[in-house]
Amino acid sequence: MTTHPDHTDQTAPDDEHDDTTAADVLRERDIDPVTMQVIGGELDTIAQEMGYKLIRSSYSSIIRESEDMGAGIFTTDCRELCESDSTPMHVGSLIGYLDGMYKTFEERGVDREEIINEGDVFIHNHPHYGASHSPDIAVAVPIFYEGEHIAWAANTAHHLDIGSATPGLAIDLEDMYAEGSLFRATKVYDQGERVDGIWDFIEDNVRTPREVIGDLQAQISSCHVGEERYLDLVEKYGLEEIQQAGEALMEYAEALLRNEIRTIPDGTYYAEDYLDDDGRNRDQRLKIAAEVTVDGSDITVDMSKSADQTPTGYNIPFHGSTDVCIYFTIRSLLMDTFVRDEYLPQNSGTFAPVHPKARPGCMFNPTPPTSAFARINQVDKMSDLIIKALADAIPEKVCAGTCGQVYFVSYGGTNDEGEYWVYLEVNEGSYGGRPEADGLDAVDALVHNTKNRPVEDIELSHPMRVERYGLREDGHGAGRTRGGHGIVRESQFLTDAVMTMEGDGNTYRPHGLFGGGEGTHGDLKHIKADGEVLDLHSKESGYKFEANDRVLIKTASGGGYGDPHERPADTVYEDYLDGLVSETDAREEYGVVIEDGTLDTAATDELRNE
Amino acid sequence: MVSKSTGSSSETRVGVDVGGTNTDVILVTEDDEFTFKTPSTADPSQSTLTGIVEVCQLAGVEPADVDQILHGTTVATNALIEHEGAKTGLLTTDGFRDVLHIGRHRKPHSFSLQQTISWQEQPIVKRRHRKEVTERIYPPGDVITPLDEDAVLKQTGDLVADGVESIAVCYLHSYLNREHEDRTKELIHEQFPDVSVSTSSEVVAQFREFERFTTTAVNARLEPVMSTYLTRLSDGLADEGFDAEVLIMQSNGGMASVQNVAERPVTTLVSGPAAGVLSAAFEGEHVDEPNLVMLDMGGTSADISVVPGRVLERDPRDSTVGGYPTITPMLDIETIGAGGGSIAWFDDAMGFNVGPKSAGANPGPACYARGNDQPTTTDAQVVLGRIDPDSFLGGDLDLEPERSREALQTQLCARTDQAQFETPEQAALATLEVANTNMYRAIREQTVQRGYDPREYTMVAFGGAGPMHGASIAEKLEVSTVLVPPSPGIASARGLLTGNVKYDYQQTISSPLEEVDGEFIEDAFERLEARGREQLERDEIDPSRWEFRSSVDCLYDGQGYELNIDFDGTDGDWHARLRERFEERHEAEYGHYFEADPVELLNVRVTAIGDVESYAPPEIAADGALEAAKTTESTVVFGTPDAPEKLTVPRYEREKLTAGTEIDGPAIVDEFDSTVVVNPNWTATIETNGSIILTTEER
Repeated sequence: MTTHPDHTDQTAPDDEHDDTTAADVLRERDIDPVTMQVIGGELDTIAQEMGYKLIRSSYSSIIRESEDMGAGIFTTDCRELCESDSTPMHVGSLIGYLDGMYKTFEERGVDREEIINEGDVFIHNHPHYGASHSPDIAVAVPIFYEGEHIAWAANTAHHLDIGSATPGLAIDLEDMYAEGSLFRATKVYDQGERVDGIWDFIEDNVRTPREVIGDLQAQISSCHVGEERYLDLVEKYGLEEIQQAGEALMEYAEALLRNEIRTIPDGTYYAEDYLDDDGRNRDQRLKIAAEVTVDGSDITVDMSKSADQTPTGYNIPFHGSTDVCIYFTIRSLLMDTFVRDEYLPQNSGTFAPVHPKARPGCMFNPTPPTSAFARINQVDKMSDLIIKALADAIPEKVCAGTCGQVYFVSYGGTNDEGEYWVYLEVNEGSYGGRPEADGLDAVDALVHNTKNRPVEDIELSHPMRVERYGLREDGHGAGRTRGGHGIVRESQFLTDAVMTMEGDGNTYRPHGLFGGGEGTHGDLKHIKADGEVLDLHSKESGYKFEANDRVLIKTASGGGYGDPHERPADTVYEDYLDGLVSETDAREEYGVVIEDGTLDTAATDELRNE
Repeated sequence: MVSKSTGSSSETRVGVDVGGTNTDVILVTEDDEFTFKTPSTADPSQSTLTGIVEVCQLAGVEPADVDQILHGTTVATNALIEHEGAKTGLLTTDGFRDVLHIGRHRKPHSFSLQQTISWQEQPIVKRRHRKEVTERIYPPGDVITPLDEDAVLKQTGDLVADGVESIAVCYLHSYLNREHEDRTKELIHEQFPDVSVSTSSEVVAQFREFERFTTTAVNARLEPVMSTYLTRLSDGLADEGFDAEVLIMQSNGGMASVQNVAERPVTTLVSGPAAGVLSAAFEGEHVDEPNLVMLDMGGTSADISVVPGRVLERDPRDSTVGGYPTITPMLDIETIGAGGGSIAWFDDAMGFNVGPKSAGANPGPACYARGNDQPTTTDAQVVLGRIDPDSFLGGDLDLEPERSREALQTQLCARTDQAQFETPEQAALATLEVANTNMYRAIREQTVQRGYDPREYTMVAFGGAGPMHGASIAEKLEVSTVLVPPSPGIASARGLLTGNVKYDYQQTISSPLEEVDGEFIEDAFERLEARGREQLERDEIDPSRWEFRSSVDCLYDGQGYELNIDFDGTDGDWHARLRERFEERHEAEYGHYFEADPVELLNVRVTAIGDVESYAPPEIAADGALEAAKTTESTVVFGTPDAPEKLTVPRYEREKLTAGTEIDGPAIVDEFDSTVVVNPNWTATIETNGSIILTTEER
């Protein structure tokens, strides 16, 4: 291991943009708005096609059903030209991977021009060299035009298993070497020739070789599609025009975001909370703190006041995860695609005005050889805290406390032949109440936007039976708009099985906002075949179940927004009819009186006026 | 609007397509063809009936002499999109009442905190009406918990007491074993004969519970609406003295009987657009061009479909209507928000956009002078001189062209602090360029991304706006032929005349291909065919006109997306044959395949087809003088936003053009419901059936 790349502070706020008006931007742009729109659309189409092909032909359900992947075209200096509209966790992360590859070349003392050749295919997944985390293996194909390296086609996808300490997922890890197989700018094709040794290595070192190799092949095909389409575009418009348009599109995206940041009053905003534990030291809560500074059209999010890096795998790679989730959160707040009509191209411009920070050695910027395998809960809570910090500044754009957690689980076992099955499950979260609407129920929340796996698909494929899968009915954050509901899921194992649970939020509740109530926290149980019930921690590594045991998962329900007494009594009554609020809660939390199943308007008015 | 021409058909048939704005009707007799257009009414059975009666009067045909009425309907679609329909209940497996609510747990918008989700915001079945029943089936179809029949009756009783009129019965794994759903339906029918029941194994017997349950719930919700509509229409027709067979266009491009559609309204969600695809395919066949790209562009949106020698069906996993997944077979039609009403605008960062904002048909483009002052693509066409304000919609609608110019000037040129075009003409050309690019991209996604080379394709452009944009989009795609059918505004109604009766049946098998027993799979196909035969018999179609197509869906074991391949029986080494066909398809689709990996056979499918009457379009007069059709010359702007070119071009009246005539571009052909723009470097040739073929040498 050589020196650790320093990434305390990526980009300093950029003074020169402060006085730039949109009209200036247009004047300075070397390209007319029509051509920019045309080429922007072409780039977007390429990224979508790369994503589509990868999803359609992949094996593991975490890619094909959950769409835990990203794909796009990148400049040779590692800026993003376009990316597929898949789970935002990957949007922008490939920049970190390519950067990490370049750092690797540098450290190995190899000349980039010499090492990168036409027909090469690289894989890369090192958590301290820009990977989102090690199970997300990136495939990168250099695009050559007339002998010159002009761009990268790259994608990243979550693999079922990379040979880590426990099947699928892993938390209680000693260091990064326990994560399994780490690749740094490793060639799997060298100038068109398959590098057999590395494929053999992968086959011998992962628990699910057919899926992993099939999915890598699908990733390579997807990159080749991107390469072919990008070259078509270059043929059609000329390299210079494409590059110019690429620059203009990045400027354009940046200008859109800067306009929005300017609407937030300058100042420093702060929110903090505590995570359950690191997966080994059960009694030590971990502080997580988001400090958000708005200065003109720049916004800095500093996570440095958070806890030190943990001795387990419960840490967050700075590049590819901490930064990506900060970009995501700011963009979702300010460029909400549900309320806005303009076309925002996805490229590096959307990152330029946002400055992620975290001191080296804190959990959001761990130093080698620390493991950083399990990071999704921390970034969820981080997003939630950024939103909370900005609530007073932009109340019309935020929501009350989201679940701020996710139970990401791997189940696995072996069949009679000793072959592994592994199933990765992303359990649903919820949103807090919003200015105009209740929080969303049972969705994949925040930076991850995967799809669930159909119950029928699980039962066709694995020795499991799902007994129950529905909304929680035991409360939500009350508010003028209420928090969304988490889920309850109960699964039975038909054979002995092992589970690694990457979760959090068993000890804290989603916050209410502007008078709204707190939501409910998550809960995990092991129900043994004989009926005995055991409490589980939010993180379990290699936890064993016997045949006919069950696991019960309840995910957090969101916080309320605004005074619950301002919620129309009829709306509360509708929730009552739908089994989402009890008579008692209607009275105690909302001041709404329901007697024998009927809404008592007069009594409600009386109670609410008390 | 009326027109009359000579055609041929052995029977008298009427096609009637109800659209959002107009109801289009076409009547063909043995030697004549008549068309008619009337505004759609709130109760669509009224304008449908009016249209049919009027076209008969126009043709001098007695109602009793009409043999067949072919109908494209938006009743189901509108009810779904507008959240109407019956009060619906759901009976489902204990523990799973919220499958409809959770969906696939993916948010429609990745970057949004404020979004709402259609199936949560506007549930097809409210939570209080989603009831659970103890029962369980587990792969490969074993009953591990028997059906609690008392619970079925108790829950149904509660639903009925709460006013529920229609019930969806959706149990897990019912695609493997439909016993519990069938029994539940039987029990409800016995005790509650007035309640409609849709079971998921009948509606769409495929795995993935959210999609199957939702499709079934949508069907249940629409069933009473569709039944009522069809009854009203049938009664109305009977009152007027009609005794014709009525067939309804389904999303799969096939016709179905009234009885079938009343039970399965979910199969009609893209009825009208499907007829458009058939129309395109028919026009292509007429000129021996099998490879087609359809562009049907109207006031608010454009429908795009690629026809590579055959009409394609959409991957059921991509099929959604109104935000709800509906996985019944439907033709592969991509709808994008690009129409005559799409608005051109600058955003805050000086990005120039056309759409998705739209002024629609009402208030419509600025030149309609109905309260919209934002410039639309129609306004751009007006400013460029391509639309003749005096003859727009036969002069039925007064256009105010100065409002188009003003809208472009004010919104896109005169803004002091922001980006601007110098002249309204430049702004108009830029508007069309961006709108055309949006459509071009959508077509590329449907062709290039799927391995179809559009350069070998002919574009069929219709709808009110399609013939104005067709050639320009073709230029981007390097397509050298564009076909504009006669009266492009009613192409979908004409497409109805070309359809066959078509029913789809499928069954999930989910077994390793190598392990599928020949006899077993032949049995499965036979059972599906039997359902098809039964339906065709009910429709009273002569067996000599029956056809059955068999196919299977395969995938590598562990993948999630199946590919459909033809099945040609179990002779010889059929396993190897299917495997080879699957690998070819996989490579074509994704660029690679795996020689050694196990293949799974997921579904078997049968399409039952009943060949109905064929349609032959009338021929138009030949060898007239081009000059006779010329109405005037006018100034029309072509070129690019950077370099507009004002040209003086001739205008022709389409009705007066005769077969064999050639027109060199630039030129404009005006007709009642559309305008055909012949770009510079393009030539228009008039076909014997009145179609205009636009061709260019330049690619």
